[in-house]
Amino acid sequence: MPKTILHPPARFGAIGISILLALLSTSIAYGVDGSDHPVRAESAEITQTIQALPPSEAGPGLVPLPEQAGDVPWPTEVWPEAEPDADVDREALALAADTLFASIGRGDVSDTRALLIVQHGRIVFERYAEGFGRESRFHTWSLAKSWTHALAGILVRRGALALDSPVAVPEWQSEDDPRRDITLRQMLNMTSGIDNGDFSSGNPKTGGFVGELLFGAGAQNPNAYAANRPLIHPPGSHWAYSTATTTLLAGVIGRAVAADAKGRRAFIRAELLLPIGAEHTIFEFDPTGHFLGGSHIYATARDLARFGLLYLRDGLWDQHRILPEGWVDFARSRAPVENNGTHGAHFWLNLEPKEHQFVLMPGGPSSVFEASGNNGQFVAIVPTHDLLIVRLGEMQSTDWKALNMGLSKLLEAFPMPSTSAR
Amino acid sequence: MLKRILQIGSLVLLVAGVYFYRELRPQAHLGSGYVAHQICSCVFVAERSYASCLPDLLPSMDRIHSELIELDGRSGVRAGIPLLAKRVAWHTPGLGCAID
Repeated sequence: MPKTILHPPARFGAIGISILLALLSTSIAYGVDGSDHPVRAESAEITQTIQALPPSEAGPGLVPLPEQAGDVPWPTEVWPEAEPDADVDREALALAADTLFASIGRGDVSDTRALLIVQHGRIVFERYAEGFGRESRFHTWSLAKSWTHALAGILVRRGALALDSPVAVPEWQSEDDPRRDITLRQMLNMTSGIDNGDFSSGNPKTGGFVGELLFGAGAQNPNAYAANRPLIHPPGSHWAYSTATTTLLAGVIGRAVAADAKGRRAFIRAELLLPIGAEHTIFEFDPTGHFLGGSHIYATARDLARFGLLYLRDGLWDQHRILPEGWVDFARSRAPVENNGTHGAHFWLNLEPKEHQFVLMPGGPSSVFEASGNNGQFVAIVPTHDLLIVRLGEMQSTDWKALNMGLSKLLEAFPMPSTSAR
Repeated sequence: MLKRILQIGSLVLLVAGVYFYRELRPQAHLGSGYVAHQICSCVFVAERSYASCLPDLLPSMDRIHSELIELDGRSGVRAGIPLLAKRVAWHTPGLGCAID
C-alpha cells in the first residue's frame, strides 16, 4: 500500500536552507531531550534490597512539606476548586497573569498557553490561551526528568533499585569499565562524571549532544547512543545537566519492570499515573521500546498539577505512599558538588546559582523547588505557601528571565505565612 | 583556454559541493528528525491541527518540508530537505511518536 499524503503543505522553501540550518545549529540547545538489552526483572524477581535513604545534605534544614487538609479531597478524579485565600492580592495576581499571557509568539498565540495555581490542594486560578484548555496536552520537554525521578523512587520503594548502588547500564558492565560504579544517586544528581552534558558535549553544529541524541544520529536508539560516552570526571565530583543521563535512567527503569514498551507503559500507568489521576499523561517511547524520560512526555496542566501535589505532599497520595520516605527531600536537596548551586535530584532549587545556572524565582523562598523544561514549562512547588504554580507554553517572545520574574510576581500576590521559614 | 577555465570551475564546484554536502547533511538530518518528531507528537499526541503546530517549531524550521502520512494503518509525519535528508516519525497509540 503506497503512502498516502494527507496534508501536503507547500511550506518548503529551498531559499534559506543554509540560514535555517545555521539557526538549527544554535537553537536546539536547551533541555530537549539499543538493541534493547534482554535483561528483564519482574517485580517478584527483584533481588536488590531496599536501602534506607541516608539523610540528605539539607535534611534537617528543609522546610516541612504541608499535609493535605482533611476536608480537601485528593484530585484523583476531580480537582477541587476554590477562591484564593482572603488575604491574596487578587489585583496583583490578575496583573501578574496578564503579564505572562501578554507575550505573543508566532502564530499570534500567547507564549503562555496554560497557567494554573493550586493553593491548599485546590485550584484557585486556571487560565488558558485561546485554542487551549483543560484537555490540552503540552510537551513537557525536560520537565519529564522529574517524572523519571518519581519512577526511580517507586522502584526504590519496591526494592528494585537502591540509591547508592551502581545502575545497571548494560554497556558499562565489563570488569575494567569505570562507569560500572556510577550510582543511582549520582545519576539523579547529574554528577555521573560522564561526558554527556547537554551544553558541554557533542557537536554544536548539530545541536550538541542532546540534539544528536533526540533527533539526530542517536534518535533510533537513544540508550545505546547515550551509553557510548566516556567518563571524564570521577563519579560524584562534577555536575553537568544531561538529558542523556536521564535517558539512561529511563532505560534502567524500563528494563527493571518489563520487556517491552507496552509492559513499561503499563507499569508507568499502574504505579504512577493512575494512582494520582494523571490519566491524560502520555510518555513517548523510542523505537527500541524505552520511554524518553529526559524530554518527551505530554501532559495536561491539571495532570502536571497532580504531579506537583504528589511532591508537595512528600510522596503521599490519599493515604498511600507512592514515593519512598525521604525521596522528595532528596529531590529538593542540592547535589553536593562544587560547580552546582541550584540542582537537586532531577529538580531545580531556588538557591544561589553557579556558572551555567540561573535564579529560579528571584526574591522567592529558598525552599521553592521546581520541575522545569525547555520553553518555560514548569511546576513550581512552594512549601511555605502550600502552593503550586504550573506554567506551560512556548518562549518565542519572552525568555527565562522574564518568566522567572513573572513567577515571582505571581507568588508575591500570595502573602508569606508569618510563621513560616523560607 | 576556455576549456581549461571550465575544467577548473567544475572542479571547484565539485569540491564545494562535496564540502557543503558533508557539512550540511548532518544538520539536515537532525533538523528533519526534529520536525518529523515534533509535528508528529503535536498532531497525534497533543491532538492539535497540523497548521497550529508549525509556528511552535524553532525559527525557520517550518521551512523544512513536512507532511502527514499513512501506511498500513499507521500514521506519521515525513520531513526532509531534498538531496540532503528525509526522516519519518511514526505514531503508536499510547506510546507517542518515534523517529524511524
